[in-house]
Amino acid sequence: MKKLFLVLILTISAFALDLTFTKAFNNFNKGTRFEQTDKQKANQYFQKAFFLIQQMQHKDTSQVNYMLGEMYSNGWGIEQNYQKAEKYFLKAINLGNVRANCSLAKLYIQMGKSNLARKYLNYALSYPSVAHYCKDISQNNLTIKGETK
Amino acid sequence: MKLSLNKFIELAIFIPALILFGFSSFFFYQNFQNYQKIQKTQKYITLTKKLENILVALGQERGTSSIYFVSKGKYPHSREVVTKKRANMSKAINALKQFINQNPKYYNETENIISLTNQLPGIRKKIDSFSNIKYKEWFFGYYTVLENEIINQIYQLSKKFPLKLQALYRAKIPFEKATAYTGIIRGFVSYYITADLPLSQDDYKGVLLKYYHDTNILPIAQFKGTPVYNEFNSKKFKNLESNIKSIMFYIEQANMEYYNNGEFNGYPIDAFDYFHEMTKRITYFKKTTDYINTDINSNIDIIKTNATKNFIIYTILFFISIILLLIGIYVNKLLKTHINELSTLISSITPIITGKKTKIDVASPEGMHKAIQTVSEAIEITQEAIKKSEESTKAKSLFLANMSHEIRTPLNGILGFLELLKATEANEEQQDYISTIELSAKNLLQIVNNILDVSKIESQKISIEEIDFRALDEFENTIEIFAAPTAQKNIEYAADISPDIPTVLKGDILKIKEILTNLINNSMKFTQKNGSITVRIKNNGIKDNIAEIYFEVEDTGIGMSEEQKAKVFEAFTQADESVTRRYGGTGLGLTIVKNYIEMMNGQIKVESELNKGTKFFFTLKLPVIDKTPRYQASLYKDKTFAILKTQTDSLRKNITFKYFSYFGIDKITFNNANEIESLINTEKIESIILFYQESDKKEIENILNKELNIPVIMIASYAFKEAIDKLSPEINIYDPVTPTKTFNSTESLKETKQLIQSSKEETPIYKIKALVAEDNPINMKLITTTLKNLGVETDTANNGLEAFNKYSMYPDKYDVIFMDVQMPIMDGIETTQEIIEYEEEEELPHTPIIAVTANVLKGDKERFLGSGMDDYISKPINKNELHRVLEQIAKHRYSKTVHIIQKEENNNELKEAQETPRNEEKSIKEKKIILATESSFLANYLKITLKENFEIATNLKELSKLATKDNLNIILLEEDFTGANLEQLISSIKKENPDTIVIAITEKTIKNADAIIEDLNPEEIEKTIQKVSK
Repeated sequence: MKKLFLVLILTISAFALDLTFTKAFNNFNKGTRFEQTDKQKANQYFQKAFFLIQQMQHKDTSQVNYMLGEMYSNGWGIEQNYQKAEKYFLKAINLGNVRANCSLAKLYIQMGKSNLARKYLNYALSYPSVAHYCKDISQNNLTIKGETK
Repeated sequence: MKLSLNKFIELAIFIPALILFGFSSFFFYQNFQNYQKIQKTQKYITLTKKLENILVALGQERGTSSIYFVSKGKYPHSREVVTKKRANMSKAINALKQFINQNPKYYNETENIISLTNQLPGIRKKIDSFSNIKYKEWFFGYYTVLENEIINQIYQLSKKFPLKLQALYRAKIPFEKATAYTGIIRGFVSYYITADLPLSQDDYKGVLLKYYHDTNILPIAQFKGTPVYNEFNSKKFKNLESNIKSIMFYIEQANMEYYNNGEFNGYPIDAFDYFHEMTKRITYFKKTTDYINTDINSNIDIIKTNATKNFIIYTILFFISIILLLIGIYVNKLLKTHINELSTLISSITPIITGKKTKIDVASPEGMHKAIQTVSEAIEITQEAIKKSEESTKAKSLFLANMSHEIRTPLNGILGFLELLKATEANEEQQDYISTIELSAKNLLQIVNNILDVSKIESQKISIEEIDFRALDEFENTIEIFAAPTAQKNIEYAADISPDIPTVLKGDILKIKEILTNLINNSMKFTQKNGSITVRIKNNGIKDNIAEIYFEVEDTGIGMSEEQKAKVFEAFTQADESVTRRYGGTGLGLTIVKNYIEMMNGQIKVESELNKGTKFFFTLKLPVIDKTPRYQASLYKDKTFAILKTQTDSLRKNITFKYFSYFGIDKITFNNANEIESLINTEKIESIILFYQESDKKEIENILNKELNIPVIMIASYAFKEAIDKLSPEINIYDPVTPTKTFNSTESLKETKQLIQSSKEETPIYKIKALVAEDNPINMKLITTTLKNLGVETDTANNGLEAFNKYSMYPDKYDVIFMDVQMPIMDGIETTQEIIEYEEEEELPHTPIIAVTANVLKGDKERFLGSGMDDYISKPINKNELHRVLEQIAKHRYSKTVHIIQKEENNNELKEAQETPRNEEKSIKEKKIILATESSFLANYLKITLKENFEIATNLKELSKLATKDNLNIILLEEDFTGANLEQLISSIKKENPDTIVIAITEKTIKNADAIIEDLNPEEIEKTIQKVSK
């Protein structure tokens, strides 16, 4: 119910602000919503998001880099590319993005770089507010929960 | 309260001045303080501005430092931006520090702030390390603290402002707070957006919710009508606000999601965009504060201008009050001095009243009262004194008048009998004694007359007459009086008179003559032998029908010193005491002259130098009655005179030439008799002019010996009469040469020429004896010569009395008396009356008296004829007139009361008169009209009304005498003539002379009358006479 409410609000508010990033962000979020259920739709949103990002004047922000990292990392709307994802995540982290630490740790696990994975995981866990991002990751054996090795 | 005047004036002046001074000083000081206050306020505004600048820079530095810090400097451009913002902040802080340095007294207010800003470099360094300090430590622990401190201080400063501005000033605070809060949110949240982290719940409540407010809560309504209000209500701002609302909503949502679900999915706002939008918001708030600042400034400006204005006004007032105070002091002093002077003055009058000097102080009330008393008493006493002196003067004058009269009567007796004595046969010695006695008596008479005149003047019994008089003629007459005496004394006597003086002027001619006589007399007295006296009378022009005539008497006499000049007009003063002894006189003459002239609105002046001479002169303004010039200029412009060369210069010569010029007479000079002979042949010479005293005597003789047939005019002083007579020139002009003499001489040239050229011409000869009474020797000569030329034997008398005496001695001797009207001693009219009286008393036949007069004005005719004169001729003597008169005399036409009326004086009439005798001669018998009446009324009436000449018979004897057989007699017989029966009378007349025509004046019918005149209508009478004479 809450989720529906949120979706409604988000949908409405998607049209309230005319900022490119916001539009990109909203598309990205919609994409993540439909990622599990309707991959095709989700891809459409991701592609739109990607397209909007390219139109942004200041692309090199922590949030944009994070978004790009996620998209490359998961192959959302674009071809999966771990190197690019790594690049973007690192960029985001440089710019102060904290969420990106978890994402990067996840990536490194998937890339098999467990040491780096641990480093960034520890870093991320120093921020309690971010912890839930890393909930996918099992800390002991550095695997992503729900994902078979 | 008894205040002295001085004290009162002091108070009246100083109290208001002091009040004004006090008020103006007070306001001056107050305004000065105000002025200073404004200066201070302006300083505070500057200080506030400096603080506000720091605020702005601070917000920006803090905000940009957030992104810088979270991204460890890696956020795009963040490093540059932060550096820039830090530079701005430092600049603002330095500006403040500079201000405090220049105005150290504000250090207290900014002490805290300054010490905080001193920490800034350290903080910046820590931020730059990204690790030595926590975010919130510097964000809230430093920047926000400083921010609060500044806002607080700004608020504190508002109290320093004038009340009027405080409200305005404080209106800024909400906006400044809004700016600060928005700044906080901007900075703080952008950190978390960049970090992509949710806020902690504490921070969410303690910062986000605390510091984010809707602009609705701001007091924008008070700015209604201003641009600020319009800005906040603009579409742009409303869009901005709705955007920010959306942004804040998103941020809140993102955080709420995390708090509720434990899930945070990032902020849908780019940090940059977020920062940007918040900055925009702040801009609006800044606009408001700027607007308010501008408002405050303009208010301050207005106040300042007003204050400056007031300051100037009060400064001026202040100085005015000082000036007034000074004036007051000065006026007070002045008044005091005047009051003191007045007191002194009145104190000095007190001796008049009390005999001793008492001090009076006008300032005090009693003093004033006393002063008034003193002055009125003094006036009373003075008035008394004046009255007494007036009375005494009056008494003195009366006494003088009476005494003069008493003295004059016997004096006149003495003079009268002296005259008679002179006429008796006395030997030479006796005649000499008589002359001496006469002279003394005359002098005494003059003295007495003068005294009388002076006393008359003093008692103001003299008035100025307004008589019409023939100006030039009268002046010349007066001047002529002294011709003989000056010649006797060998004094050159000249008269320079403007010939163009208007013919008739109006004024008191008798007094003018007296003045001239007096002055010339004086000159004569004080001028020695070989000196000269010049009388100048100039026409200075006519303006508004008033002629300005300048009179001057100049002599080369003994003169006067400055001292003598100053006193010369004072009564009884002569130049010095010896004058009376040596020269005689009373010392009253000039006083009288001065008084007369002043009464005629003139002023007499004297110039004199000892032993050089004296000049008296004055100007009179006389109304013009006949403005034609007495003599026309260039009257003789066709005439030329030949003048014998002169060897010396003289007044006489120069003045004569002046007159010649005026008359337009050309002059040719010749050297000797031969020259003039040839000159006569080439030029038309009217006359030869010889100046006896100035030319060579031999030549003069030569010229006169030659038979040149041109009249010679000899000009010289009377002193040379004897010598000149021997030479017998045709015409003589004796000093003084006057315009009239020049005119007469030139006129008579025609006659003399006739005399020379046609000596064969028959001139009527009248074998009659005439007595000529004339005081002027020239006129005398003229008449006697003319009469002599007509064969008339003449005897002369120099005045009326002499004439009377000569007449009364041999009443039958003279056929006619020519009586000059204006003569001294006894004038013509008096003499005539005396003669007629004498004739009546002695029952003598009447000797005709002909008036010879220069005056022929209105009323003169009647006056002469009315006084008993039979006829008159005017001066200058016209030959034709003389003929007429002599003829009448020859024909015994004059009897006692016959007045021949001359209606006109012009030649036409005379020509007629000349002609009628000729006509009458042609007819066999002359017509003669005789009026027989006893009534003088009828006689006078007919005299006036009838055109014809007639004679009057008042009794039968006269009637028979008149009605001679050799005339055709027309007798106008009046009814009551001799009481006789008219018819009988007429028949007896007609028996004697059958030709006689008798016209009866009666209402009855008279059978033997040739005509009857019933009413005295002049036309009727004329008609009747005409009818019967045919």
